Amino acid sequence: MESILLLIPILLLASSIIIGLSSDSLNKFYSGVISTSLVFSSLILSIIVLIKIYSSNDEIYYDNFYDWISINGLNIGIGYLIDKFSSIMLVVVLFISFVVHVYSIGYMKHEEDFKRFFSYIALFTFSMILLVMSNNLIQLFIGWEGVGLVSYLLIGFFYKKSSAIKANLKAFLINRIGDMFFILGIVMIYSLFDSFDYRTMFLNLDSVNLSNLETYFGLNYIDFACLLLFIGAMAKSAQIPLHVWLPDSMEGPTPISALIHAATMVTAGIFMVGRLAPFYELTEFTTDFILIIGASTALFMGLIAIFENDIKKVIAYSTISQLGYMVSALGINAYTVSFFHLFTHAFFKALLFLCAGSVIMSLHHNQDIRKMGGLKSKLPVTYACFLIGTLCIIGFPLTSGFFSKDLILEVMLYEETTISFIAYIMLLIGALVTTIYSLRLMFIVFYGKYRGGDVEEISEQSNIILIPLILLAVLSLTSGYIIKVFVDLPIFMYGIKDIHYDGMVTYIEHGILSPATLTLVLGFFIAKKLYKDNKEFLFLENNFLVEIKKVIKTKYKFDELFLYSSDVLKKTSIFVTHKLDIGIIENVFVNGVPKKINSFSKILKKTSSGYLYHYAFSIVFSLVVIFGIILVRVL
Amino acid sequence: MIANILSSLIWLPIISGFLILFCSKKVSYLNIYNIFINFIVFLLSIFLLINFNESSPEFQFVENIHWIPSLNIFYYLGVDAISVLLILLNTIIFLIVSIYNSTLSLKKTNHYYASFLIANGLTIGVFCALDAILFYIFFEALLIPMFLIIGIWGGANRIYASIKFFIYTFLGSILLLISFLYINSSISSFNVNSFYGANFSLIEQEWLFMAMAIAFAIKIPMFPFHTWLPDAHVEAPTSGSVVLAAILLKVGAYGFIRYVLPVVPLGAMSIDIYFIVLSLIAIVYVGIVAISQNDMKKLIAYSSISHMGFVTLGFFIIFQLFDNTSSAKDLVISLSGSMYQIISHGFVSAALFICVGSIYDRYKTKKISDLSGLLNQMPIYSWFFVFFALANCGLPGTSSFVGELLIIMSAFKANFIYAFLASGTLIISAVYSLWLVKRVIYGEIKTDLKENLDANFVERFILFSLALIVIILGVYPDYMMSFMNITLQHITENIIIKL
Amino acid sequence: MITMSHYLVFSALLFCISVAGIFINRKNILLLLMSIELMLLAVNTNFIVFSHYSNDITGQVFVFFILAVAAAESAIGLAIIVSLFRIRNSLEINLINNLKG
Repeated sequence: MESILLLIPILLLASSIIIGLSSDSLNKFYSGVISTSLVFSSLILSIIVLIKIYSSNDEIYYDNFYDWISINGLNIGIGYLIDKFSSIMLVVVLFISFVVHVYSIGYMKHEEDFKRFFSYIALFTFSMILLVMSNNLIQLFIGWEGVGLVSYLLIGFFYKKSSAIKANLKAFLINRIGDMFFILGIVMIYSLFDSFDYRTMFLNLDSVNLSNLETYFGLNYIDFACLLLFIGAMAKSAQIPLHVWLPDSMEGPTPISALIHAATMVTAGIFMVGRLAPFYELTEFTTDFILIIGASTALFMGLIAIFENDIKKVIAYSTISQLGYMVSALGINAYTVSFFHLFTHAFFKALLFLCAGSVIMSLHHNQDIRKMGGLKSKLPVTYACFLIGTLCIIGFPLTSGFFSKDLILEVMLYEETTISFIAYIMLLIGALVTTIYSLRLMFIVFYGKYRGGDVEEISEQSNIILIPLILLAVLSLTSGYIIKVFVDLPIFMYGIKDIHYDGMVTYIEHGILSPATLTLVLGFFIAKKLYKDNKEFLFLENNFLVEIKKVIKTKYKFDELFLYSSDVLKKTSIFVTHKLDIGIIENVFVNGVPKKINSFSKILKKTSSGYLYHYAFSIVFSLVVIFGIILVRVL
Repeated sequence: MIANILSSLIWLPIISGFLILFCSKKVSYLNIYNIFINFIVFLLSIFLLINFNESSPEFQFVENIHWIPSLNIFYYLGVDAISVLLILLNTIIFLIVSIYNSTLSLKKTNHYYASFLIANGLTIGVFCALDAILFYIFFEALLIPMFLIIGIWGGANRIYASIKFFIYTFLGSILLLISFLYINSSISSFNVNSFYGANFSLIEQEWLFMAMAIAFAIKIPMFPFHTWLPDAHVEAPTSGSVVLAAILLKVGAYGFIRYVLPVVPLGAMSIDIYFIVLSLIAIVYVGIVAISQNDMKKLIAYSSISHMGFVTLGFFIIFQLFDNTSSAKDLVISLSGSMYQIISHGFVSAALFICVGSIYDRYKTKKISDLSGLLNQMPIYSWFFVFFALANCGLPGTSSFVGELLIIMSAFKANFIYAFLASGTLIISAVYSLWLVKRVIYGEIKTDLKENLDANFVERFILFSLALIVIILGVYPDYMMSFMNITLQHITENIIIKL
Repeated sequence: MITMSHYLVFSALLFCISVAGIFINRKNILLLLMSIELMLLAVNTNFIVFSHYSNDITGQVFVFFILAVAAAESAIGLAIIVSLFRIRNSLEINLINNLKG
């Protein structure tokens, strides 16, 4: 088993290194094939692992590959913790990665840096696997930063575009803000248990007396540590207010948006909280905080998507909003429910992105939906897949999104606290918003008339990018039916969360009769009226709603906030350089002291006039004074 | 051979350095000779590493000869694990520098090489001298070749920079000498082991600590004694900057761990808070200063200061750790973090300076505002630059992460605020490193130089080997950690026993 | 009766005159040299007086030495002054301040 587990990351690393360092003689297509086949082998291995896990009874594979640091009092290993939770995640990551690899062979074929691209995505998958497999917080952090790094490199893939290199810097820096808090959270947890190891930490959790520990800002120790860790997750999983990097990250190639910025990396935060469930179970403030952040992200970011005109950015905002759903589920300790949505979302969001990529490619890199329209007949396969993706995201009954989103709403309603009820309402409105923006995109892009020029030359680009679409479409439709797996999913050292679920049929009945269906119908009519039939609603001209629309269109000024703070940092830097470093330390002390000595010596210089009689006088005068003093003392 | 390995390590490069002065001025011979000597020294240090018994805390390969018996001065050499690692760092960096130098065309080549060879031997001397006066002599003598390197082969403002460098560090050294003499006056010995055994009253320890700490703080350099470094770096030739950043700063840190902390721990303990605050200022404030620099060398110099802030933080929080937990292992972890940071920063900053030097050789400018889009013209070189910039901001998987992690860990155990400020480096270092990358490497090309400018074979070899070292140290830190663990435990015991 | 103190006062006066000569004279280097000679003579007087009153010939012997050295010295001094005059065409003290810092 260990060798299989070791082989999974090794194959990916090998793929990255081989493709990255290969000479120019290896042609693009073959390097793509090599890379894809290596990822595919990893995928097969991970499926074997999954089967083994599920065929054995609650067995958990837990060991270290090697000791990263092993000295007296500090043991950190690089290893694996494979349970049902992580093995599912492994398969999801590798599957999406594999699909994206295949897609990229078609999508990136005209790019000069084709091989660099493949090297990066293999490296990304490697880091993600490291993160998912991790059995301690340090390995988690290494993977966590690793995926951030590759995301940085890939957003800046088109390094000549100034928008791309701005976006990648922004993405990395905002992730670093999160990482700063994340690492503080890690060291807090560490100093409580003197270990980074999940098992040791969770085993010792009972023996820790929380009331005896220090409190920070009124929060108890674990609460505060978990809050810090969650701030890290907020940056990675793009939650308000650290979400600003994700829409900009769409500067990267589209397959990357599907792989990194929709399906896998951004869900790392969810995964991390799920892994540390035993800690989050103990928190009070932090869970409420998570709930509020998640719910407001789900609602407010969805609203932005309604007014966005870049096809990728619409999907990006919808990703943020969906992540908000996952995070809110974490906020009521329903980790597996959140994980279920992560699972289904990975498929349909990757599908949506790859469809968008197909559209963009067919339209020769036009991403503005105002110049699209009527593509339904021109791109039939893409259209069908996009339709399936849209149905999933709006939670159309019997698609995967229906199961997972409904489950979140359901458990939220069952939680029965004030705050969870508010969150429930927000998520419900969020569902309406989701329906509106998703169908808007659908209608504007695929229905109506083409607004971008000559419609004749548009066609599906290549079969190689259609295969992944179909594969993902099938999974998007079907992946919801394994809901039972997630309801019964045990989390390491935490067990199974009791979730209200009585069989598939009851669940579906219940789901269709829930208010969510109402939002679906309502959303459909609004979207159809507005964007398909291009009618205006008179009540939208209401002053109040216009004002709200204006506010939403500013994206709540979060970007400006970050621009402003980076500006402040820059100005502070210039200020302290000139005023403090050069002004005070350098001029007053380092160069100032010699200058003072110099001017003092200039004063002294005046005493040596060069005239003999001055010198003679000072000699005699001093003699007289000295003898005088001696005389006075003697007498 | 084994018995006198330390002497050979010290004197081989020094004597060869003097010999090279009389060599023919034919550059090709000089290059071979220079690289050969550095390579031999490197092999010797590998030999030292292999034969070193890391499970013993005692000084090994000891050579103890009467030198000036009437003044209790001995020619006393020996190494423990931290010295061995620093010697290895030293020989690797000097080997790399000698290879890099062979690509340059300079005036007075043989003098240039001689300075580096002599500096090599003297630094090794600093790391293995166990007699305070011997240490002081090497410590001071090291200034001379560096002074010459900056003053003769430096940039436009070299005279100012070299004199500032010399006077600044010399000022500190005086205090060091006075402290050594004071200690000698009460225990009649300059031997390090008797230093460890000496007992001083609190007030004596405070004064001794202040004097020695200022001497080494200037060398490291700590805020606010840091302003000589950016000037020296900007004016120094590339190889000079490499040696300055990778080796010379480490001498100060080594001084702390060898002569300050175990000798006057009580003094350090009573005023450690000031030094912790200075370290934190170095990390945060100097990092912020680095952001807006327009000269790449200055930027990296400031980032060096910021990183060395971690080292001193790791040194000085141990007393608070002792107060909080009073278990030796936390202290050892903190010191390990500092040592790791020292070694790691040696390689990363060396690589960054070589990168900047190569840019300067090609474009004749170090100004960030004059450069853009180097990736278009020199792709391989640029990837190395990006890699080392990322290593500079402490990316996991590179060596810098290990030290920073351990120090942040220990800082938290001392005080939450320390850890909070120290971890601010995650953001600040990313800002200055990656903003540099964005402006210099990415974007459209600005200059109209058309010819192929990518890294030549020598540069590729140098950068690749440095990258490899950085990655190995980052992926498998355990080897070095366990290697120095026993020694650090021993040093910690020496400290604790006096508290 | 002329006592030792009279001699001593005399030589002290001589000394003070010469010192005053050095201070007050700001015109000519030659006068400076003469003042120095006078100073030496004042010292010599002391030597002779003490030698006479303590019945020790050594002091008087020493005076001869001093006289000889002083002669040599003033010879050198005059030579310097002569060459100085050749260079500067003047012996004004106010113009000779090369020692000025």
